[in-house]
Amino acid sequence: MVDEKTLYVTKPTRSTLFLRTFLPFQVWRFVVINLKMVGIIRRSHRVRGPG
Amino acid sequence: MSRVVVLGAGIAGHTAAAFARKWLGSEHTVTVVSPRPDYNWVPSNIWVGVGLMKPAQVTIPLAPVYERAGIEFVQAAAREIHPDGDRDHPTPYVVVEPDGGATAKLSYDFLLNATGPELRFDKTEGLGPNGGHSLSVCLPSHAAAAASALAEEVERMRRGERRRFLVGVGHGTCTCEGAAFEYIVNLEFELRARGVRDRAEITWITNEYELGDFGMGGMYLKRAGYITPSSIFNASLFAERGIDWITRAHVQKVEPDHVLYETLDGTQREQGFDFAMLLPPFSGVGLSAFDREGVEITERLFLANQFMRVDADYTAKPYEDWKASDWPRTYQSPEYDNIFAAGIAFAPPHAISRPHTSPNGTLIAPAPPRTGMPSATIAKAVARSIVDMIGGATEPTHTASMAELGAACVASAGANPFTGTAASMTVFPIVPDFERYPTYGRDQDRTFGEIGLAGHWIKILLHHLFLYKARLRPGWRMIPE
Repeated sequence: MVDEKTLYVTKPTRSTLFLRTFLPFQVWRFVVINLKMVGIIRRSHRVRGPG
Repeated sequence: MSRVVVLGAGIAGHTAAAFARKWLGSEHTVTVVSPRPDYNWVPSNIWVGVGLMKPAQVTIPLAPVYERAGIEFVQAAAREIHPDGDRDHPTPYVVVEPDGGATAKLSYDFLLNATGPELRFDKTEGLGPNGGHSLSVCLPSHAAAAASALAEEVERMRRGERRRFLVGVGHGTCTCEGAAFEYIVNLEFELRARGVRDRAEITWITNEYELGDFGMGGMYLKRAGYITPSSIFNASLFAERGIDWITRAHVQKVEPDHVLYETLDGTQREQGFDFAMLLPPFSGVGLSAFDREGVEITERLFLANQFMRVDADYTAKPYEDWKASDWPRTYQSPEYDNIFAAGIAFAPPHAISRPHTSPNGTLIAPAPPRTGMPSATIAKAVARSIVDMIGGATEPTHTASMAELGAACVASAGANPFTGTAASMTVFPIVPDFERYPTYGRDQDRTFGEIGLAGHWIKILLHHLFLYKARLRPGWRMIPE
């Protein structure tokens, strides 16, 4: 492994790694992430005057 | 009748031209000037660079798109701006130079500079694919060359050799660390997929002070009851994948099998490699400007880094005095009301990340990113202002400050529909506003990030959606920037 510095780094648990590619959970996250991004997009597309 | 000339057909130029054409009546002309015949969806270049896509899958020919949309296309490089015209040509114009052809004058009523970056491989000796010793994914052709080199490395590893991979940025003032980050994690994923990961030593080299800075001062994410800096997540991702990292580095020279670099503590070091993908620093494309008498006025329109001056506060001041209000809002030139800049072409007032200098006086600090979503959003706002000014408005009507805009970003960490992942992130605002959000500079309810397969699906969706949009197919305006 790389070197000693990786000993002091946060690493994901097995359940975290599992959920990253677990289809039902990821379908849910797909919806949630899209909603979050749409919120940012809507907020960033508001018409603003130059004042 | 007015003529809007857009210099550049990247994300900013193409977006601005498409919206200006849509909003302007047919009596007005929209002209795009670009030295390249294709539009490139740059975020997908990383997949070309690992051999998962061909250049044709991330580019579209511009001429038929513009012909269908009623946009005039001039395939040429812009060289000079004459905002007052000259004695023989009383209206403002730009000098353009087709590849191998004679220069021509192109009149404009409104000019948008969206020329993007000049890739400054020359800033580091030995850097870059053209005569240097490192690869790049900045252009589709660069990425295709990287993919070929990677395929050769994989063959060597299949024969039992161990190989060293070095990925990151090739200068202390580079930007786009995010693209290099995507490349290194995709590279690692591909080496695993091809069954040779155990023979590869992979190292990240960056000018960031901490991992996860990405030129935007990093970000803080609410997770599991903590507000955690992005450096923690980035380090975790690297440790999990067995990727080593070198931070706070300025690459000074790239030799055939190693780089020489300086770190912020002033130490000179070297790192060996068999395969290096190092992004270059950027500057503006080097446009010149002249007044009516032919006297050069380039410094009135551009900063020394060749990016265009706009309505930002360029007063030099220490990091502690940087404010969100320093950032431009309308992107109008302070010298000429009918000239604007968008995307990478506008000069930011300063970095976003805190700058650092080594004891030897070397600046090691990421430059601010202004690509992708903010680039297109800015371009759309500028297009609306230009259209309104053609309609009689006396000043820009729309604003898009990066200190008021949010951004959504998806960074691929491995491309596979079932086992791939990507980091999905949102930040608000892009440039931290410590007056409005004193602790972290951003709205923590709108700043978010997570890694998972869903992010990869979104990345794929965005690839197809944005290429559809770039083709200006029916309903393209429904797809947000």
